[in-house]
Amino acid sequence: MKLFSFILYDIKRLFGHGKTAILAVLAPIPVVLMFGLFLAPVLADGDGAFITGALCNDDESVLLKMMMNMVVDYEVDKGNAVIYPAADAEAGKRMVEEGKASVFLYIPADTYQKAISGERAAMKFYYAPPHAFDALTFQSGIKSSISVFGQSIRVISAAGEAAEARGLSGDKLGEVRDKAVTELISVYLHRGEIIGKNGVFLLGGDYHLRYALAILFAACAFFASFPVMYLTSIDKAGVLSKRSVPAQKTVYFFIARIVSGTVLILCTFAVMYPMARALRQVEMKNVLSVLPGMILTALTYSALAVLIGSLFRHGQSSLWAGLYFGAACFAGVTFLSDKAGLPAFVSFLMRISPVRASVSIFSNAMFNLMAERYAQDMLILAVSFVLFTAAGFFAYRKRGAGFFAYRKRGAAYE
Amino acid sequence: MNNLAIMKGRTRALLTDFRSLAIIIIAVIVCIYISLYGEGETAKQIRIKVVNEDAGTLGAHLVELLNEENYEFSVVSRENAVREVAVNKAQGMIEIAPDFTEKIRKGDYQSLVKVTVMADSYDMTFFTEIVINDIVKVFTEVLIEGKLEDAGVMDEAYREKFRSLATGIWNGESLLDIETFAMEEDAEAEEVNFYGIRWYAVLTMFYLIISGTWMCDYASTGLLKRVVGSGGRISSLFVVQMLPELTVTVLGFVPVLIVSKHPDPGKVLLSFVLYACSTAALALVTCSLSGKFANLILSATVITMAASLFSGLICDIPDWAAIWDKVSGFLPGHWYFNTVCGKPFLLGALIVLVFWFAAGIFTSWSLGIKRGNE
Repeated sequence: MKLFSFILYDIKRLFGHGKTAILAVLAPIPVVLMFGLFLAPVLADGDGAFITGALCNDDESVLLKMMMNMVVDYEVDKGNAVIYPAADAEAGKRMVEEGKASVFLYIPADTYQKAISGERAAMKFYYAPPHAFDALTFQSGIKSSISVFGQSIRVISAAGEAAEARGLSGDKLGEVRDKAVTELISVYLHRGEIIGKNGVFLLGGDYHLRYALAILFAACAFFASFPVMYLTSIDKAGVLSKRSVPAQKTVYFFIARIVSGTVLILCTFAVMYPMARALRQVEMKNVLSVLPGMILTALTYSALAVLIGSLFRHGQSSLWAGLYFGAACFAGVTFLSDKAGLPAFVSFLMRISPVRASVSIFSNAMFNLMAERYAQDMLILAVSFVLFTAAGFFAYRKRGAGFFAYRKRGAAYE
Repeated sequence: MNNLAIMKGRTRALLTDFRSLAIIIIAVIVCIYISLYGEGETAKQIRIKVVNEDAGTLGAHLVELLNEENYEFSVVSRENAVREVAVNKAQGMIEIAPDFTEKIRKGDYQSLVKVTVMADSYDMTFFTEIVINDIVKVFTEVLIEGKLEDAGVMDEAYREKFRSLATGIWNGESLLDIETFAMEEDAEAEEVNFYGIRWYAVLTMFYLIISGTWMCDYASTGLLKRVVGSGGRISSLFVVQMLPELTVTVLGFVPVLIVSKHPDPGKVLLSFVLYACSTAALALVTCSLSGKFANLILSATVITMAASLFSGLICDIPDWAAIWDKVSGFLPGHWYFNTVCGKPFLLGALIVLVFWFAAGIFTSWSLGIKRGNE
């Protein structure tokens, strides 16, 4: 039997191993669907707009009116929002209640005047509970920038008052203040350009979703490697040890198992990638950077699964070990890998962790590629693959029907 | 069937099987930690590298403002910053352009900095907003200084005074704010946390399912087969087998409940006992259908995640997904979560217990017959 035949045979065995392999491949579907459920209203808005809103501006200030018009026009032009004018506050609230708008922004009279004269002024933001997720994300972005805008206006106003005390005339002061506010509004309307991007509010507000999606990718890949661990343990204690397979064949078995495990994990990715694309508009052009990451992740996880499987004589024990090892790795990546102030050893472990590297590859390569991080993560995965393979090979032969067992039985066999 | 002997045997097996018992020990430790410290986490521990290539002085001023924010900023060279981000020693970097000061003084605000963010932390969502806002603060100061210079009222003494005035305003509250309202009264209810006791319930479900391998076993040497073969009843066997596990989970829950400082611990404890019993019955259904451990380990994870997510135990269900609040009524976690929120639970929890117990016994019995015939 040649190596290729071994591989085909092992793939057939792995996939035909009861319901386990099928479960491993299909398990990501409900997991991704659960994740997608939280984004359903955003996805359900087929027009592509992030939010449908109503606006009522009762403030007569020319500058504020101009600013709101420019913000609204920009977001509408970009297709981020559909904005309807509301006659008054009650009409706006009614639009949200009736489902015609998911959010309503009300600007009370004298808002600008109050802010500039040192009084607290508040706009009112109403949202429909079914749109809480997108509305509150949008609101958080607006709130932080509006509050800094309010502070900037206050700085201009306070500086003006102090200048007046130093002898600046009222007319001149008004002129200085109006010019400064106009320029400030212009900056606010193009605030994305400060970092070389387009947009006004909430630039990069979906980083946490990208991260969650990347963790799901890596977790499901690890999950899919469980049948590999189980089958390797069973084979080691069964077929390989009892039938006195020649040493060369154990090498074939070992290679075939890693390759078939890789194929199984890649099948999971094949299920997940279209779903991720549907959920977060992952661009097709990024597939070229994601694909090598997927293949290397699959190879590494498969080699790790063979190593874990080879270390245990019983299938159940290897699954328990895989479960605890996986849980510890993913908990570490999720809760610790981004934190400063960890003990040096833990921090080092986080940096070289292949699980962290695979999560990072997906979050990096699927959305915005930083080549240096990508290369580093690929290197970590490649080194991990080599180490897991070498350690796995040693454990596989030593404790299975490998080299040592063959020598003992060799004479009788011949 | 000697129930006492079976229970003793099960207790011994449970206490000596450290592989599954470790789940509940870890659950207790993790959930106590969450109850004590979980809500104090901030983004302060997120590391951001700043490359200040600005030829003027405003870049340094921007760094001062950034240092007031909720991240750990440090100024390094560009090569260093790229390396630190590449090896995951930092989650993002800000490159301040060489002409940062020059551009701001000219009133040009385009491409003042370059922001690189690695989406590998939950705390990066508003990072870019914070950077932009701080640059706007610098821009505002320079803008007003320039206007007052043009008006002839700015001198060095006043400049110092103005800067300290501006710093006071940046550090204070904003006068322009947005108040947020949900359009339904109940949506304004106070947010429910108590993640310690909620996540303990999630891990309990996983533990009860994963440690139920005896329920999968229909082989001739298996306990189920032997008991049923000798005229025993699955329901009695299930009760005596699960009692030690339920005791362990409830004992583990007590310290977590104490540190959670829930205002109504008595009700929560009662609700948790009912939740654990219903979950044990749900475990019987899952284990019976899984048939073997390799399937069980996969289905236990997916079922725990799905049931806990839709019950609201893992995280709060968004308001728009209110349908799940009704649909999840058949899940044990729904009623336990209601108790944590201070809502009625007893009748619902009892009905769910009866339902899952009946479903478990029926599934185990029917599959036992089927596999016995095979």
